[in-house]
Amino acid sequence: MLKKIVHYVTYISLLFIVFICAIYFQQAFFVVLVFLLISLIPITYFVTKYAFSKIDVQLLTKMKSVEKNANTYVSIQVENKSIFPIFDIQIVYQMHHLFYENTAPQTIVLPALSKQIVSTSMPLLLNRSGCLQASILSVTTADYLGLFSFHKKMDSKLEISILPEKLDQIPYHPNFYNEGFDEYEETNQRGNVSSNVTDIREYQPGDRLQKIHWKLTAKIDKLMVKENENTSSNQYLVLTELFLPDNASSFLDQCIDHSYNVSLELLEHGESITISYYSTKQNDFIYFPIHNSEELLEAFLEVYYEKPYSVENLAFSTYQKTAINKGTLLHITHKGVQDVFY
Amino acid sequence: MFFTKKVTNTNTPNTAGFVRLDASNSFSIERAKVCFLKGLLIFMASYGTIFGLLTCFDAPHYPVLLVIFLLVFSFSLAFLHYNKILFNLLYPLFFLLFAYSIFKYRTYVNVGYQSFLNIIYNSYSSYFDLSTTREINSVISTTEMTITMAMIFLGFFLCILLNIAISTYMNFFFLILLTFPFLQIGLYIGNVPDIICYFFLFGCYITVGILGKAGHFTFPTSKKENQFFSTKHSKKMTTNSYLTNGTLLLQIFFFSIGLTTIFMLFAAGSLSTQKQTHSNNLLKNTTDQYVKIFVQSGVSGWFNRYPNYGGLLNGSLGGVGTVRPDYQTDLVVTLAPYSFESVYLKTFTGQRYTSDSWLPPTDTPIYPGAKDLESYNQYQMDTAFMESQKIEEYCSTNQFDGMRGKMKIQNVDTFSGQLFLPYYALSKQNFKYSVDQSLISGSIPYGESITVDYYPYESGYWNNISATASSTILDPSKDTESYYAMRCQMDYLDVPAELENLLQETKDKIGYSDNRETQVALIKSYFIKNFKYTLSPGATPTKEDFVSYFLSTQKRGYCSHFASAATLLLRSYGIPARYVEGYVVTPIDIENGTILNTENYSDWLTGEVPIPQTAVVETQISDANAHAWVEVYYENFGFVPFEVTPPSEEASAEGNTGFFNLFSNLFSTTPLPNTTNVTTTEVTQNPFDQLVQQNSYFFQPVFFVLLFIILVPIVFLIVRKALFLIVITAKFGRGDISPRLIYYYKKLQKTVQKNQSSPTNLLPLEVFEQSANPLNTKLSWEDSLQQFEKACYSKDALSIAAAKELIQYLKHANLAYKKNVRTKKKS
Repeated sequence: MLKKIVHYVTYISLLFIVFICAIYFQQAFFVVLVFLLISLIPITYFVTKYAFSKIDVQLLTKMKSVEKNANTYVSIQVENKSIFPIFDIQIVYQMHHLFYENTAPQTIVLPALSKQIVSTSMPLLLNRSGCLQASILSVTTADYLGLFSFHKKMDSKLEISILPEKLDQIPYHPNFYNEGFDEYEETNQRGNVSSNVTDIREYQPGDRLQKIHWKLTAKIDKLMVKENENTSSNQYLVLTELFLPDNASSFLDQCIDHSYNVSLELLEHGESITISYYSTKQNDFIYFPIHNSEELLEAFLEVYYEKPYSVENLAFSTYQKTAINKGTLLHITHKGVQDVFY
Repeated sequence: MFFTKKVTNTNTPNTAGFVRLDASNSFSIERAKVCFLKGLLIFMASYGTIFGLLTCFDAPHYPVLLVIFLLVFSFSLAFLHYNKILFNLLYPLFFLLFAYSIFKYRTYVNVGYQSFLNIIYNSYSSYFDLSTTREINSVISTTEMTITMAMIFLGFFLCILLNIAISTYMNFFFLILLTFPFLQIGLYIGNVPDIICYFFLFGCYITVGILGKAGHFTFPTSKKENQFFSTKHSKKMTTNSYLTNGTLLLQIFFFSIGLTTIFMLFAAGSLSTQKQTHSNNLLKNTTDQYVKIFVQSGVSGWFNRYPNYGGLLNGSLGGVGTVRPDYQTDLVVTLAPYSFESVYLKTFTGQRYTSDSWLPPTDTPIYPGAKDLESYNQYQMDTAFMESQKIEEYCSTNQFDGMRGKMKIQNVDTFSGQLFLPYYALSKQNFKYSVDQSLISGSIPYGESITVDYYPYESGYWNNISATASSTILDPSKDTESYYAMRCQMDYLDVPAELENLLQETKDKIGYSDNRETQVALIKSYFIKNFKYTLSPGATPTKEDFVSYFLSTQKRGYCSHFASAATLLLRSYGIPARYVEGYVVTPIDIENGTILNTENYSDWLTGEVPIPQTAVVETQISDANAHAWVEVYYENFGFVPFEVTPPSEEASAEGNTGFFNLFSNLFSTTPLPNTTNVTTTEVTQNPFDQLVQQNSYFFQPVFFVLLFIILVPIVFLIVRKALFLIVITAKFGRGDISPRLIYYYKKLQKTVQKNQSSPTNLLPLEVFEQSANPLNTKLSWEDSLQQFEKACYSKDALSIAAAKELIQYLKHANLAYKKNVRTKKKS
């Protein structure tokens, strides 16, 4: 605003001086100069207005998803379809990481060359998993004399998914290998707890009592058991904590990394897993049954839109309270696989 | 924090990770484009201005040469901003080149400048209806070439300033301030420049105005900075703004040029219309008056302390620093020439001298012999026309057919309240006049004329009258002539008491004579020898006495100075004298006058004329003829005019000798021809001067090389030493005492070592021991050595105070040692 006032004052002073000179000298030189200065206002106004209406601003990127710590960039592209150049296209944009309360809008000023596209690339080094959302908030310019401003709202957005980093070593809870592995074998037995009943068969020694189909047994007087889905019987529930104590903390990022890597390893072992997290938006657990790495990625991309919470182990404590049993629970925190429950 | 900008950019690895425009040119190409545009703007502004100035006055010049030079200058200067090294290296070189070439071609440039100034003067004289002429000595006849050269140098100087205005600031106001004043010289009087100049200037103004507003015209100076974007952090947001873009600037330039072209199509008609009319604007009229004075009298004209009428000061003294005649006709005098001497037309008589003026007689006591008004008037008439009456008496008594003439004086443009009369007017005239204080007064209204009957004065012609007249002394109370003689003795011998000593000293230098003519001649001769006639002596300081300052300090002046001083000197010799102003008609004026063939010579001059019969001549008298002289009283006759002003020698060959001349000869490739209009004094050139002048082609480069070889190392050493001292002092201030300490120790060591028989390096112990001088220092040499060793080798740092003390010791020891050595050598 101050800049504009300065421009107005300067222009009016200049006009005044030239006007006085025109009266004093009574020469065509100054009369023409006065005329020139006055007519420059509408000329530059309409020229800039026309040129600005022909301006298109876009956000572009090469890759929609990138691995963490990989190089990428976001380009802002200004296309001027008119024959008049414009000095300053002031673009207010925002780069927003969905997990973090972050980044105030930034401004970049670019020229708009006539009949040309001007773009600038902002190289980025993305070091936190999540989703980066870039959007243009507004586009502004001023006429050649700096007296008038022109605004435009642009609806240009893009998202870059930052995939978790593959770790060489995952910090496991000590129980994970010592006891957990046996239980893992145990849980792989037939007749284990499952949600979907696929078959009914005769009782075999070792079947759990709760799997006995009592009604049918009473009818046919033979012990019958419900056959659950095989997967359900040896499923792992990877419960990811979306805990973020503050913006500077890397806990959430580490947690996602751990969760991703544990899931990946389980998948490599041919196990069925379910990715789960507690959604503070829905006040419920969200489950993603995963059968392959593609599904795993998709699940994580969904996680990126969640809102982190500041209560430590919120998902785990809520899970315990709900008494839901979806298989072997792997509680993943920033420290690694924190707890294993059966 | 959550996403950081990369350190390296894969697309543009050279940009070191900064944001830059994609697909943009390399940094050097961008720079080149911007420099090119700036060069173009500088050229447009400089050419528009210089060419505009020339076309305003239709001055002859070579346009192609001007374009080529200005193009070269503009682009060279603009490309100096390409990088810092170029700027720092070539800018001084450009200045040197400029200084050298302007010195080398100074004759051409000066003549061109003067010629162009003449053209401007002529235009202004025509505008203000002045007949001012400027005198110059055109030593080179090719005006086109000289004006072009002068303009090339002016253009170069302008380009340097424009380079700052455009390349550094892109400032519209600055640009107008640099260019418009030149055009204004022509525009002020309605002389318009060529339309192409307007095109260039308007194009440049619009482009600079727009670019200056936008602000994208500079590159960062440091390579460490982002060369494409600047970053500004505020509380709310961070703004990255591109610095400049050559293509964009060129596009804006073309837009501005397009706009200018459209404007020029509409405005060309009115812009090219010449309008040389005087304005009704009050402010403009006031300015006109000042400009007119400036054209007539230069800047000093504005500071003159009083007005002058046609060059006459009416007794005012010292307020005019420079007399600049406008050569406008003030009087037209028609007469029949009677001798080869000048004809004086008197108008003002000064009796009483104050420190800064001559006052006319005002309080003469009434003649005691006057019984009534008639007899009083008769006394006035008798004394006012005493000389002519004496001549008349003499002629009738001696049957002498002396000269008697008629003179017509027409007032064209001088003060109408004054009467101008030749020596010696008769009392019977056919125009109105009055007599008071024994002086004749009257007026000649503008455009009107009077015809004066007079006995023409020529030195020596009427001498007999005074000599043959009876010297009987009569009673002043009864006899008019005796009373008047007494009054003259009383009134015209008055000298201020405070000047008596100075006048006495001056008189002693001049010498004494019993004869009045000889005395006047001695005074004049003294003036010629010791004083200089000039129209620009400078104003007398307000508190100084005019004559005293002239005789003791100034020693140069114009007619008023000489006449005033001579009057007072004559008075102090005991000769009644008075100061007179008027016009002088010189034989040259008469020679340049118009012969009136229709007039009969005998109607204008009769009697015994010293020269053969001439013709009736009409002469134009301007303020250049305004003059001051002295009248000396002769008993039994009256006042006789005397000329005491030495001839002008302003443009003599003064300064052709001496150091500066020798220096200038060194740079002169061609000896300047002698000017034709000016009397030159022959000066014998010494052989060394001649040798230098003849071989200046050889001496010139040798001189520069020698100067370079000698000066550069000296300057380098001085600067290096100064920088070194600054650095060590600054370090010392910050607590790093070692460099300063070592510096002073080394100095002492050097001094001591210089006076050693063996050239071995001395150890600190030896240095301190040998330079020991306990009388002059607080510390003993042992303590100092201990401190020094502590500073050099110990882990414990020496305190600043201790270091200062030690340095003080080293300084004193050094001086004392030197002194001792000198004393020993002497003894």
